[in-house]
Amino acid sequence: MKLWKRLALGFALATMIAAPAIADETQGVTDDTIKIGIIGPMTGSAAIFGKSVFGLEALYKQANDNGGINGRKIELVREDSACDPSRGIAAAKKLMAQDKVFMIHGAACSGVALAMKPEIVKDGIPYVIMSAASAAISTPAERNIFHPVPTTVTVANTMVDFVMSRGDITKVAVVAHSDEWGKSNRDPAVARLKEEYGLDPIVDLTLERGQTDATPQVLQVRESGAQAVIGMLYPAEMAIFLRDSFKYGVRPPTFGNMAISLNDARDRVGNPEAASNLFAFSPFAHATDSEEMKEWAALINKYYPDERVENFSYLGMGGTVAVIEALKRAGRDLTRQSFIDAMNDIKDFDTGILSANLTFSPEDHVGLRGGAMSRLGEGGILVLKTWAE
Amino acid sequence: MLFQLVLSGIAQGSIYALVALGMTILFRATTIVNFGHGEFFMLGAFLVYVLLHVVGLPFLPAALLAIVLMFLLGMGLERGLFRPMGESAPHISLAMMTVAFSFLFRGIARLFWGREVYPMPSVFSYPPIEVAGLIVTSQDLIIAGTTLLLVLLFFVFFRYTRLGRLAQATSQTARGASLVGINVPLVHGGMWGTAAAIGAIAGILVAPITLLYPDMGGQILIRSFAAMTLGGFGHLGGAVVGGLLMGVMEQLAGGYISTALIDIFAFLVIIVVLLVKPSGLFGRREAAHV
Amino acid sequence: MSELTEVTRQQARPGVRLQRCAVAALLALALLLVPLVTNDYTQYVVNSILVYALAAVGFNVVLGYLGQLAFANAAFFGIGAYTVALLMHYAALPFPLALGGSAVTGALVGLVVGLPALRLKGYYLAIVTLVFGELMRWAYVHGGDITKGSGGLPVPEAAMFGVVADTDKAKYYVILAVVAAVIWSTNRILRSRVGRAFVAIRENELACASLGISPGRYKVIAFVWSGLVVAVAGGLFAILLGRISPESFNLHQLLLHFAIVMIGGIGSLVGSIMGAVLLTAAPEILRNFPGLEEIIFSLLLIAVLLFLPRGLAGLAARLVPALKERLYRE
Repeated sequence: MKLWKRLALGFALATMIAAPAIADETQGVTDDTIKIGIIGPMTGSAAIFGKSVFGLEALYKQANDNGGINGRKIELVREDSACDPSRGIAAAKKLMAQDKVFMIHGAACSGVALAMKPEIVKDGIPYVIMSAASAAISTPAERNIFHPVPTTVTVANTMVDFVMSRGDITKVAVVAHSDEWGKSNRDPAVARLKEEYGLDPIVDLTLERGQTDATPQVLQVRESGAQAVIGMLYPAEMAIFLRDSFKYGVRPPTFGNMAISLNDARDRVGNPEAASNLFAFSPFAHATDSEEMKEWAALINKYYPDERVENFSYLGMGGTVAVIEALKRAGRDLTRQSFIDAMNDIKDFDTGILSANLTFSPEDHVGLRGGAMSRLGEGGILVLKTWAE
Repeated sequence: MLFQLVLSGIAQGSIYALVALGMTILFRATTIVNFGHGEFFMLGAFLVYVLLHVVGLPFLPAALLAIVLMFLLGMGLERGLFRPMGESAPHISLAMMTVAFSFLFRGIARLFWGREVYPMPSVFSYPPIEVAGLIVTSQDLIIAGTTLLLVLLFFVFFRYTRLGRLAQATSQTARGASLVGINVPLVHGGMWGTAAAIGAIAGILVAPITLLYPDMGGQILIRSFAAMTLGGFGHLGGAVVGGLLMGVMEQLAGGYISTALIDIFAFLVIIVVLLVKPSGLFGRREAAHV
Repeated sequence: MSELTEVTRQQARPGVRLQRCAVAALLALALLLVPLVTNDYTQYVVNSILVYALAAVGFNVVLGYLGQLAFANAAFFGIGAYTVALLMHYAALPFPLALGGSAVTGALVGLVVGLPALRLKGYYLAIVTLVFGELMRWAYVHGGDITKGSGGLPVPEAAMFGVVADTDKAKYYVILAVVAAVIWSTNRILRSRVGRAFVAIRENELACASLGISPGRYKVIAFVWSGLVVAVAGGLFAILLGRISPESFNLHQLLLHFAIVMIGGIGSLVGSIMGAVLLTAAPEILRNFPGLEEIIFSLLLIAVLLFLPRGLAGLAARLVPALKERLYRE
């Protein structure tokens, strides 16, 4: 008995030593700087999505060059998550406890964002998502987490509505990865098909990451007579699916989500004809090869001349424009709360790059609820709202 | 659909067979299981990419040069990493060394090419050919053809040429071989080089299909293990038959049972074979010598 | 022979024993006071080191002491993590019981892996265990609503003796207590007759059999214990992260454990701890040089394989010969 009592006492003492440090409302803010932590997959299997980080940083640097925010310059601290949850947690903790940043802007991998979420909620630090799309991050809403990119639910709904907008579609095939990313994209799409249109997918297939051949999937799509294929796939696997579809003469159009860039897909497939039937979800107002987008690309290249700008580079930029606006609106008296209040005040805000305007409120931190689809047309990329166009 | 799946399975399986062939040759000659073979595959493909796009060579010279360079790399590995470890090194350590260099190469590749994925130009013309309702591409034919050719070549090599029998002798007893005057390190070096070169050939042929990324070797490694296990470790023909069977079975399982199975199919095969008949289809049961 | 008498003589002298007790007490005190000098981030890193040290110790039992090339570590680790998570999430079991549950599952799975190990030799065992780990990962991904697939399973906070461990510093004490206890037990086993049998089997299995030491029995014991230890480490991992998902138990995880054991020193418990410190702290130190980590690890591994067969422990033994007997088993 004595031993147990001693241990319990020891534990109680230990927890007193271990009491959490209380974070400061103005942590990361000095008279002339605001420290912002950026997290992205700079290495590892999802490193291509790390390109979004450069978009963020270019905008923050531009804000500094334009005079800063209310007399303060933004200081950036970048951390690599390698798309690994435990690395992401370590990165977030470092930014919060060691670098003591004011806010965190980051995460392209939903797994990382979800892993970091409990720590971030507990700490209360403002957190703005860069490009991770899982709806679970921001629903239910947390006081300090903001989601300025379309969630998987928004994307799925947009895709399904687009497909069905042609009016004569009854057979829709679904092909997806079986990992978290794939499931969080596929499930809302299948749900939308069922709830809004009363349809089940005519075939519901898996294509795993890293697979180099999609013959069984393509043949099943062919046998099923599907009129459209919703593909929740990463860029490499989408390219393989398109290539094999072309090879076996399977022609129904394929619809990809936010992870697909039309130019990138066309390059990967190596055959423009095979990629001609591809539609991709577009969170952007303009086609990625348009003059307007070229300005954004030029901005990134101004600060990162060696960076090859891709569709993914722009993903987090709309959110960054909003963050900079909110920081300005919060004024000189910048605290976590004043920043959060300013974000909650963002209504119908035109970021200049996103296809819909951003709106936040204290109850709803999912900023975007719309989008469009794009495809490769004769003269370049077309952005479409309905299929009939 | 059945025949198309089988055909596609043969094409896929030829890839596995080609890679398994390279691994088996090395295993036969040095009794080392090379967990880094996938990286030979990957490096071969990236080398050709660099030679094509950075140096500007046309395809055939680039491919040939890449193969030669990989051969030299293989020899270099043997000289630098494995020879110092000595013949009496425990298998654990040898296997671990292969794991170590596998990660080293992956890390280096990631450093240069980690952020993007690179498309390779197709080795040969693209439009698929239709034969009696079945579709096949020239790519598939080339891969299957090359695999067959290489298998025959090595079969002849090991069975009928002097060098081949020397290689077999050194693998069975290195000490005995050197007593007879065989230059064991040279033979080993040559075998490593050959394995690397074959891995590179597979990578070059297959890269236009799989696209280039630093982790491309890992996927193929597991499937090749399955092929080798199925066919019987160390048996050349077995590796090829195992690879083809793996390819076909994977496609059929994916087409008829569930596409979700394709990913773990190789694992199931390995476990079933090793638990039921570890020597695989063609392997011999090994006796442990005291 | 003379070494043996030297050691026994040292053990007998009371002065030396007092010295050893003092060192141990100082070490214990230092460990207990660690949270005074850390922030949340560095504490998290320290916690990770402890968890990985335990995983490596478990791996070492089979890899280093028994000498079998068995790569089931990622599987044991994952099974331990998911057991704790599932028991706490669905059955609302308190942490100590959940951890006990993962120890039991780990031991059972160790048994399952150990039995084929009797028949399969060398590379075959390596491949089968590797594949087993990947199959388990597939199971987590496709475990539907139970494991919540790739979405990840949230882990409720651990509570011990009525105190909830919800900060990194509090978790430290929980993790430290468990890791210390398990490593101590492992050490006892390895220094007993059982441990000597492992080493004997590693050196010459046939000789053992002819001497009446049943290799089969001891191999299974080794796997069972290894499974238990690594599963417990997995359970601690679940508490550490607060949320587990299948990707955390892939080949990369296995290779990390493996590198820790090899670089730390095969057949040395202290080596595993040293390896864990190096390989867990290194990525954090290398944060400013993304992408170099893999290269440095593999170079380290190659260096160890070529020049330091006994790893860091061997290096330490060379530098401080007096520690040699304590550090590894020949």
